Amino acid sequence: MGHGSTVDLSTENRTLGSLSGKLIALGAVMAVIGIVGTVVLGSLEGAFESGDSGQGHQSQQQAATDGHRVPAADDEHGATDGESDAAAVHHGPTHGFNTEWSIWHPYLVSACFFLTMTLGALFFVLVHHITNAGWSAVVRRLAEGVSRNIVLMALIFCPLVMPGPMGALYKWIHPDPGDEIISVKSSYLDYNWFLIRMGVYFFIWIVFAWSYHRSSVAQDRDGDVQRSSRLSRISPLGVALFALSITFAGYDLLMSLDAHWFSTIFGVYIFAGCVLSFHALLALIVVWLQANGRLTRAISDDHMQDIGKMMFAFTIFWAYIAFSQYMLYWYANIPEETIWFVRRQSVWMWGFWGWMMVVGHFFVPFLFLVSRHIKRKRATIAFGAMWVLAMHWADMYYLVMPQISNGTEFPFKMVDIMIPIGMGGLFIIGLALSLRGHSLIAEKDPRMAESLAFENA
Amino acid sequence: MESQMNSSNGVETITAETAIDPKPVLMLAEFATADGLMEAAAGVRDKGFKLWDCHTPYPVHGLDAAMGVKPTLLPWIVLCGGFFGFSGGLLMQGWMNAIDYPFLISGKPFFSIPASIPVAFEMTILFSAFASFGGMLLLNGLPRLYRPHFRSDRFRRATADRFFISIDGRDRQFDVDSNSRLLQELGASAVEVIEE
Repeated sequence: MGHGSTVDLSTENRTLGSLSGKLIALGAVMAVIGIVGTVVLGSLEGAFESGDSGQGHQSQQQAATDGHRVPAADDEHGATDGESDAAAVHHGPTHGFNTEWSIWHPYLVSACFFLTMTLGALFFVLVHHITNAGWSAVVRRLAEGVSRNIVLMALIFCPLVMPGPMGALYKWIHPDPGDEIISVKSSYLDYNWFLIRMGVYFFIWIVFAWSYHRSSVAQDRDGDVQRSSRLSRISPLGVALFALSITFAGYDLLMSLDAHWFSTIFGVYIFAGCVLSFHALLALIVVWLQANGRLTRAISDDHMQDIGKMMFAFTIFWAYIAFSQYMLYWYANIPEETIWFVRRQSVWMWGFWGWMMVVGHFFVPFLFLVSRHIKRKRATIAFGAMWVLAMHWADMYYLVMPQISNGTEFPFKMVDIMIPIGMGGLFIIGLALSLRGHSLIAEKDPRMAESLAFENA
Repeated sequence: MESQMNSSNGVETITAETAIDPKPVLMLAEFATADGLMEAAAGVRDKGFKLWDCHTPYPVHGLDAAMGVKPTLLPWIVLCGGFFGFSGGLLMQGWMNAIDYPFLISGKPFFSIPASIPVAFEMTILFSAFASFGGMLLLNGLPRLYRPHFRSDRFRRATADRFFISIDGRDRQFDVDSNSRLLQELGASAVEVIEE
């Protein structure tokens, strides 16, 4: 099809080479700044003062009882009281969430921020195999590299699923006595069953990320076309398992922070953030690689435009899902559902944060990315990608943090910044290890010629 | 109806027999390959022609650049259509539900943004689509029942296996002799002048 001169891959600088050392050094510096910053600033801010989980449990119960005077919390009891009158008389109101800040809250925000990006990369690889996509072959290796960071994410999640941090994060670990709502969910919200589920999710993700990457790299050497068709054949299974695992992981990690609340669309909401944030990350990686003389012609303006289109599309998809959730709850106006949003409007800062989601996570990137010129220029697409990533972090923050003090204070601390910096450093190191040692491009992919010649009509 | 003359320089002239005092209105140049067309288009572009076009049986990538086509106004028309649909959707619902016929439904406010978003969203899509379809027709000067191109039998192959450049007679640089020489130099396999 293409009449332009096709890029000769052999003339491209297509290995990470000396950049991997630079990346690892950058990652190490960020990790050290993040960890030292977290320890120092965290100590100043009293992040490590709360006792062990047992004491935490006591004080949370106290806080929950104190929280009775918060009007937003009262609404919730209306729904509970009918079923657990007797219990309520003896034990006071019950809560589905912990109100006390712990260092694990910002840790969860940051871990979910990087987990969603990594999973977005896995989805990218799977879905482009399913559709036998031509244009994306030049950037698929980068996605495969990012998806391999899932191993790092598993390590990052290990401390989080220890009993102490879990008790600090999730009320259902130590529910209030007489909490009917959590007790009927207890067969699902069970610590051991949670651990098994997490193990299964990460097993699925790691197996798919590694096998796709391995087969793709092996194809660089032997050029076996059968590998591509084999991967395409199993990718429907991969996407089905991905859909289930990310939905339930979203429920387990983020939605169960308030175990009384539920949203059937929550998994899709997390998925939208996954794909959006990964495309933003991919744009940044490409811009950075090209600024350092890698793949300067193989990845063209047209490929950048398509990455930008995907960011644009998933900006809209995110807004569509977020608004669908909001509007149905607003319309039905059932207290046990609206409480989640009421809590996010109780102080002006959270109200502002909600508007920042509407304007900053939707309107700004929508209007910014709508133009093809913006999507084709490296500087502008990089700016858009950084904006989208910042908003995605703010989105994760919005999902986790408002439960602190039942939303009556804005719990921002410096460790909220330091932990993502540290984790970002580890993520960059993981990325460097994952991308080095082989080509940055799936050299002998049967769709490579089509991809190199790709042009937006 | 038509008469065809072959002049000495290899340029065919197609004239309507009914035409009184026929004037050239169009020049057609035929090319056998897309690559040949691309090169010729770049040549015509570099001569500074304004009212001319290329005709191909399928979309040829890179032809826009070879022709020096300026960015189209269409996205801005679509953007305006979208804004009109969005604000129109909100205003329509506000007027209908809160002013013209206020009707209390399950205790909701007469007008509220969340309830109005789905309709405003659909109106945005609808008017963007109208604007892009209508704007495309308008900018292309469509619908047009007749074009002088249709007089050429050779031009019928533009939908099958031939590539054409047409230069409009209203172009400032339109001149039968010099233009036909240019097109032949650029590799045209045949050049026709259409008069009416």
